[in-house]
Amino acid sequence: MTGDRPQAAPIPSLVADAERDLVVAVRALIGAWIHAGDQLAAWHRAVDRAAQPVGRATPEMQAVGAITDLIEKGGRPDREMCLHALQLMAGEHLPALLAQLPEDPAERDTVLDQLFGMWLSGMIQAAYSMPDGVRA
Amino acid sequence: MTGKIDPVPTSVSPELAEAERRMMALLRAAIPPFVELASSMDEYNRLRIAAGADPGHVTAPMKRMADLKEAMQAGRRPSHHEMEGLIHALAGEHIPLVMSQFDEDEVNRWIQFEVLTDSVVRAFLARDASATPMQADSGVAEA
Repeated sequence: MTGDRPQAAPIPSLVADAERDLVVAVRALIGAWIHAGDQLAAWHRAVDRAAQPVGRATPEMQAVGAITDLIEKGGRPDREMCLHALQLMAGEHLPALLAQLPEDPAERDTVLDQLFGMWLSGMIQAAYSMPDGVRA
Repeated sequence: MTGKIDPVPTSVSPELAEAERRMMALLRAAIPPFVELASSMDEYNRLRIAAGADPGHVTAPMKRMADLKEAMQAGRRPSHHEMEGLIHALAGEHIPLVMSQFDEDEVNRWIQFEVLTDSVVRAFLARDASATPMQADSGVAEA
C-alpha cells in the first residue's frame, strides 16, 4: 500500500500544510503518551515492590480511588464525581480540554460519557485490575 | 502540573508515591499534545472538506490511512502488514517504544494492532461520513 492512487486534482497547499501539521501533532502525542505508558509500568513495578494494592499518593489517584470504591460497593460515579477527577488530572489544561467538546449539549454529553467511560475504565483497570466495562 | 500536590499519606511508601507522581505528571503533560492534535484534525478536515479533497494525498501516514479506510469500506480486513505499516508511519522515531508496548503473544499482538488500527482510522476520518468501522471477528473492534 504505497499510496500510488491517481490524483484527480492538485491538493490545495493549505490542505497539504494542514495534513503535515496533523501528522506532526499525531507523532507528538504518541511521544507523550508512550512515555506516560512507560511511567505507568514503572508505577506498577513500584506497587508490586511496595506490596501495596493501591497507590493514592496524589489527589488525582485519590479521586480515581474514590470512584473505584464506589463501584466496588455497587454504586456508579455521577458526572460531578467524574468531572472532579478529570479536573484534578487535567489541572491547568482543563479549559483547553473541555473546549474540544462539541457545542451541541446532547452530543457533548455523549462525548463526555464516552470519555469518562474510556478514561475511567482504563485508569481503573491499570491501577486496580478492575473488570472492564466501567461506565460513568 | 500545578504543584498543588497533597502531602503523601504515611501509609504510602516514598517509592510508590514518587512513581505515582511521575506517572501523573506525564499523563498531564500528554494533554496539550492531545489538544493540539484535536485542533489540527479539525483544521485539516475543515480545509479538506472545503476544498473537496479526499484525505491522504500528501503524507505517507495519511496515504496509508486512506488506503486502510478504502479497504474497510470494501469489506476487506487490512492485513497485518498494512496495520503494522500504519503504526510505523505514524509513530516515526517513537516506533521502538511503541512496538514494545504490544503484547508478546502473537495472537494478542494482532488483536491489539486491529483495535488500534480501527480506532485510529475511525478517529482520523470521523468527519468523513463514509468512514465505517472495521468488522473484526475478534470481537474487540469496538474497544
